[in-house]
Amino acid sequence: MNKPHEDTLCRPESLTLFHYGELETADRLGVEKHLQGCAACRRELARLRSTLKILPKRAPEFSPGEIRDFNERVVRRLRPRPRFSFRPAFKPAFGWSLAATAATAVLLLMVTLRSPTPAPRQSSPQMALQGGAEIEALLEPELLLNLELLENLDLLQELETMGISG
Amino acid sequence: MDTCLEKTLLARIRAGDDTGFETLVAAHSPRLLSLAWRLVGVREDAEEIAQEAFLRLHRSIGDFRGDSSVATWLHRTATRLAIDHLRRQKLRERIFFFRRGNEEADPVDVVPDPAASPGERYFAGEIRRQINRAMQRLSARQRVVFTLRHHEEMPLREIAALLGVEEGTVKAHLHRAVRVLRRELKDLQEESS
Repeated sequence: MNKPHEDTLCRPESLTLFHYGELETADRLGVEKHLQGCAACRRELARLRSTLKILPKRAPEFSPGEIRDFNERVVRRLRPRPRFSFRPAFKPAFGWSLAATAATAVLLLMVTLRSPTPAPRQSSPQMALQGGAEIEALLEPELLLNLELLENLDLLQELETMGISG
Repeated sequence: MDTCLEKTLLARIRAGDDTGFETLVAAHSPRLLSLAWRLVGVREDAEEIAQEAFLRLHRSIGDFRGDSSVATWLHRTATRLAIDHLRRQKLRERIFFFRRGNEEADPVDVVPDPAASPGERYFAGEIRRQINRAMQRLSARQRVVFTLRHHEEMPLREIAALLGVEEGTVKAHLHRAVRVLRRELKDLQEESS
């Protein structure tokens, strides 16, 4: 007697694919031929089909009003895109770091230009050390920031003196 | 949607005209919502998935080369999002020993048949709960492959292309899904036969 699962043509996988019409032509013809002579496999296929029949095939549907609401929600979520798409994407984080670097460079340049040129009388070893310490201090970001704050304070005081600041 | 019309809309959207995108959303949302609902089984989750698929399309519209249609692109994205969603859900269930309630109605049968008697409605509700429980037993991929083949009637070759896997893998997923469903729905099968 032919038992299901023993014959390669009537493996459960073949029956599943046969049911869904997913076997190659030669395999499908082979299974069809086998089913004609195998009652066990016919029963197995009938049981398989009765289970799959229970599962509904009708697609779920949203009402027109629900779909309209959904469409409006999607459109509201759209972000405005940049008008000039040829411009490279400018990431905010990168922009800020670039601005900070530029500001530091300008500040450094200003401080360097303002610092007095070393006079011959300041060429003592002590003064040379002091100058070196100042340059080192300027290279430290925290000190540079403080310096910037002080400059802003100076500017504020100047404005107050002129009576501009509230 | 007509290919020519789709190309025109894409060109308009690329030029910054978002009304073109609104037309695309209106054309594709009914089918996409239905697919997502069928895939994940929960209406709110389906809406999230469909919305995310549309937003991703909008973000990448500049790179959209048109190798596939917008519908195919949306369905592929929604299917992948659904797989991720189902996997996360399964993981949550494992971690917190939490199982989703079986009381959720099947998307197809949220509106009861008005002609059915109370007994028939109760019986139909019981069948739905059993089917939901059985569907929840499937892995994310098994569920998606089964849904696409059984409910959406999509050929396995297309499903394989959609998921980016071999056709043999899809066949194996389908067979395993059917095996699990048959085991889980054995009682119903005996009653109906």
